[in-house]
Amino acid sequence: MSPSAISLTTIFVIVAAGVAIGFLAGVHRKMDLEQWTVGGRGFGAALMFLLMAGEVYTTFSFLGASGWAYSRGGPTLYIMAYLTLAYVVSFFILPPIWELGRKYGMQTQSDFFSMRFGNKYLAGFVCLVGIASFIPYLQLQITGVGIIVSIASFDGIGRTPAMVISVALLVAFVFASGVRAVAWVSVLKDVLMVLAAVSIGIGIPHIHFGGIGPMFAALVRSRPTHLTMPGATTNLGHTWYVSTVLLTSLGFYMWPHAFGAAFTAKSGDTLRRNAVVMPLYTITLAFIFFVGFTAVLVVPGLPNGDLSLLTIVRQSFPPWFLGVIGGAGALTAMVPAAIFILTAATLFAKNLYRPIFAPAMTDDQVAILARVMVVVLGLISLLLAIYKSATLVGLLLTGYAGVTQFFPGVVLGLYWKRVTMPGVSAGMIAGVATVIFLMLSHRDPLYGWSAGFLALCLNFLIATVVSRLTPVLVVPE
Amino acid sequence: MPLLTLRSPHSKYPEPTLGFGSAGYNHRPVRVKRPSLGALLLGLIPFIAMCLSVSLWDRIQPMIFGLPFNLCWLIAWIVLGSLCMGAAYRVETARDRKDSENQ
Repeated sequence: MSPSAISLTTIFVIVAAGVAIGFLAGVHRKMDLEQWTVGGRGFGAALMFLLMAGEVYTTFSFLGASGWAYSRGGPTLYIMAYLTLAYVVSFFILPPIWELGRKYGMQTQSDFFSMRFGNKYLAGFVCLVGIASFIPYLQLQITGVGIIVSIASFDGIGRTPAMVISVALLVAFVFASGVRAVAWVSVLKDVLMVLAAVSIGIGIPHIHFGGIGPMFAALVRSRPTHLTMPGATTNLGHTWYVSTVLLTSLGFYMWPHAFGAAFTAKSGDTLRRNAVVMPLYTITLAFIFFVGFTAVLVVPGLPNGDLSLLTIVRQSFPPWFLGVIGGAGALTAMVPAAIFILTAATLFAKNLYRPIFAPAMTDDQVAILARVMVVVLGLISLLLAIYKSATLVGLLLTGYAGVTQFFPGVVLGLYWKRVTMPGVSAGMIAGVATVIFLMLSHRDPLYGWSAGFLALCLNFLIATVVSRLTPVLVVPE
Repeated sequence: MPLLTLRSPHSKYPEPTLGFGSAGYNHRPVRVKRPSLGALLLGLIPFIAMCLSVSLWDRIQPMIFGLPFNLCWLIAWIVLGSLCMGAAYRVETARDRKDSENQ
């Protein structure tokens, strides 16, 4: 067998095993709307941990983090800080959200807004921004699979056919099961991912430099500024670091899927315990960074940093091992992509379309519409991935700038008695408009500050001031 | 006073209306427990250490176990941050227990 056939076969076997687990998890369960989307609200600590971890380790951390270690250097460290701090935030906001979810029968983030502020247009706007923010995140995963398959095939299969195949598999996978299946495939994906990260993180510096310490020593000698901020960039300094870490750590649980995952927990206590343990999982990222930093010296001059991890793996190991890493990477893209697409489709059908355009729809009809949206969203992201390229980290930060605009509404909604619907709406609209304006006019970062963070500050300010100026109209019991 | 009651899986809250004027509401008061000050302060520690203080630790020397100082600092704080949250967990559960004894 040729090297590309060996590596591709290995990837195929791993992905097929993942899909098989997904299908098996879907059997013997009646799939109504609640079962399909929140797994019947009965996940214990272990399955919860997997579901949440499944969303943390995406292709972004696999290819994107190493890509930025390679192309940007020091600024890539923000990823390690923000993931840890995101759990700190979750400790304080997820348990009360879970309690309210149980009390009022909420399944999604926009249910929260509609329950708390009583306005279906605000809830619809939250859905729309959530779905729009998912698209770059979904595009990121699909681009990742394209990179994996084309490098594993030794450039024999183009990225476009690879992306088409992965979207088709993804849609089939989501159709067959739902959230519970995704949680179980996470088991396979996470075991593979951690093994892959640790083995290449230790192996690759060892093969080329005799160890991690000597690799860093060599890197400091040849590129003395690469490992600190702003690294290989001019505008990603400390101001950028602080504003981006705050933006992304506050925004992490504002992603509609992460927010919705909180509702699948068995108790608020489960969520708190997760917040204590989960940060430890972030240590895996260090190994991914080691690979990216080694690649700076071993495979310099790649057109796109996101190629660096797999290129150096291909150069350092036999084809079957490249296949294992590629298979782990492909699952790492597909599991989160399934979660995103499932969440976005359900949001569209249940929280945007039904309340605003067709209040008479039954739950069964909503479920059908959600399935149609799975296909539609898959196709949109596929087209974007084919025709519009960006670095993986760049895509993720775009999405974060959008979803973090929910943060003031959620936190004020939980803890401030004086907050009103017009206040939260005005803040959110101003925040989203600022993000769109700054991103489209390529002003991110603005004077060293992350654009999304500036928008978040404005959002908070407007939400507070307008809430003060508007009367509180309490729901009649 | 229990914070939550058992409910059926489907939503019980009234269908929201426009809410701009007297016709609807723009605010449903929710009763959630505020986190205790102790837990909040414990949560602030990792934010200061990993984010706000970046200019103090973003350097290469001294290298520790062969790792640049900034990377080593962050790895250490992943563990220390988890310990802080473990302590915050104890603070919160101790308070919950006390509250339920007082009822």
